[in-house]
Amino acid sequence: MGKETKACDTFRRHLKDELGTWKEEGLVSTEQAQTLSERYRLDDMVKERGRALMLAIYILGAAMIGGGVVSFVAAHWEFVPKPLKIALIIAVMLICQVAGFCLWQVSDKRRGVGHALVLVGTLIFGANIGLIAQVFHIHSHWENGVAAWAVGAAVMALAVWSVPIAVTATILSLIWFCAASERHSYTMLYSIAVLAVFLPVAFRKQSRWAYLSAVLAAGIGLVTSSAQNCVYGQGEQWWVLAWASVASLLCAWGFLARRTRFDLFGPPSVALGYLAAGIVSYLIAFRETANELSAQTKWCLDALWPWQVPLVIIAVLSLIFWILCIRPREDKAALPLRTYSVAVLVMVVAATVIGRDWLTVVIGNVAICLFAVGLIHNGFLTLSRQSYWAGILTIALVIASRFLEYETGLLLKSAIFTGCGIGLIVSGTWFEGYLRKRRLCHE
Amino acid sequence: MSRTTVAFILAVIVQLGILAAVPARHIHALMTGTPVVLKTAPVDPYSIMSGYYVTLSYDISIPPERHKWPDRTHTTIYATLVKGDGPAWKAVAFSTDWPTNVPADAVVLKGESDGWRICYGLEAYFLPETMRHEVANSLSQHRDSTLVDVMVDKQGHAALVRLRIGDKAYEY
Repeated sequence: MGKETKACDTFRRHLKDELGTWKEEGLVSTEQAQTLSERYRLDDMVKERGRALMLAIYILGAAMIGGGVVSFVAAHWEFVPKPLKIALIIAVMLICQVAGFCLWQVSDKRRGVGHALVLVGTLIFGANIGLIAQVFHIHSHWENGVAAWAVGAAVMALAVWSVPIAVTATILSLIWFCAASERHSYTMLYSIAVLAVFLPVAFRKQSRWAYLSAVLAAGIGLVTSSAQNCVYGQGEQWWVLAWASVASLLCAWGFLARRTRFDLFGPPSVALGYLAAGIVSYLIAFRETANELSAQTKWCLDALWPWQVPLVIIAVLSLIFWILCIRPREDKAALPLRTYSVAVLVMVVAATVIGRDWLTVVIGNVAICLFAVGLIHNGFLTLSRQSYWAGILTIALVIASRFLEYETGLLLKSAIFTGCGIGLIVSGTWFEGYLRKRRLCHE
Repeated sequence: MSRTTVAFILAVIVQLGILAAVPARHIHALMTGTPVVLKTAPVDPYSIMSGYYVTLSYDISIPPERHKWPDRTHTTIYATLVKGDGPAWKAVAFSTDWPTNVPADAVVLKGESDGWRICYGLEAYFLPETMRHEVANSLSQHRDSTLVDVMVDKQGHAALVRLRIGDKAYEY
């Protein structure tokens, strides 16, 4: 019995396709083919794909049933008395949840259906909140209803360790945050709460979906609250630094995670962090943003207390992670992207701290170009078509943005756009040829 | 019983607790409150979760001397209401603190300023989908004589009871 190995699905799919041909051509013996099949669990692939497809169908079905129940409640059926109406829909919620739990966790026979029923129960819980709001004519601060729904869903997600319910709760909490952040002064606590509640689900279930939704919600929360805490014309540097800190932490953790048992979360963290670094450098490359940043003479530490606390924690954490990343025997494929990440982030921080409009614009533009070059370079190194084209499109976006921003001669615009178009076609064709040559143009 | 089963039961209890907590203040106002009638002028939007409703604006929503209050949103405002000459009650005072020396026949209503008007949590009345056209037609005919019955408890919290348009009452 061969040792089982972790491998990506694309590789396993191609291996499964090729193995039959290899056997026919005599490249591998039947025993060797069997060993490879066991090593990469090729026989399980159909079952795994079927399971994933069924789960997706169940989740989609559950979401549609939940939508149907919400719409049913919204129709405000008057032929049933209020107490009976509430009792009826609470009973439906309980039946779904209990039946789902029994099928999923107790009998262990129809796990997918059971899981979907618990999800339906959580959606009906939200419909119940809507029904109660309808019966008692409660409408002020509708986002509080969403918050109540998010809390109930989060509790259920933690109780049964469900990824779809955790992602639903994260989305609901983000909706609440976006609607309520103006009314509350301590919104930075949202980011901490989201990570504290949903990351355990992501780590325990090894789910990239739960991880990405939690990290994205926390990042949006931190950047939004830092921007909202800036009184216009005061301390606007802080939202740039908040953004850079989040990007830095994600990149550093992502590179570090690749060497831990949480390597599953490494690539999405790096991708998200690098994207955040690119977005912030793109924003500060605009003359208007640079002017706003350079107009700030004070850092307004007193006025912005205490939301800098999580920012400082994130900055320190990311610094520690960056230091831990540096090791003598490191992953050489990740080294260039790591260098580009650090360079882009250092430039963003430098541009913000220096705060001179023209210099900030120059540094911002260099940073976003470096970001694009990093993607292209990474595309070559890892033979990733997505990375290469993301870099090329970023450069196109930067050029288009600068042309719209600055008034320059039409002839010059025409020449540069034509040059860019030719460059795009030539470089793209060349890269595709390069991929074909390496016989690795499968996605 | 396994740990997951216990956690699941606790989660369901928490959800039921949340469902009970959402209308608790309104139930308290309905059970212990003083009946008050307010004059209103409605419009009709839609809520994804709860369906069709009329948005209600009151005479006491935009009171005089607003400039005297703190210039910020989410400030708590207390309106002191007394019975008017007609069926509707009227506001005799507004304050940012709980009013002192409230007359025995007066009622204090708690609201929140959103910067330009006060919201009392009475701004929406939900309707069955089938009734929305009838109610909309009635409203357009009796725009100046629409009233709502509310119950106000001793803490100033209020709950909507019914909508009165002309000589017809709508209670859902």
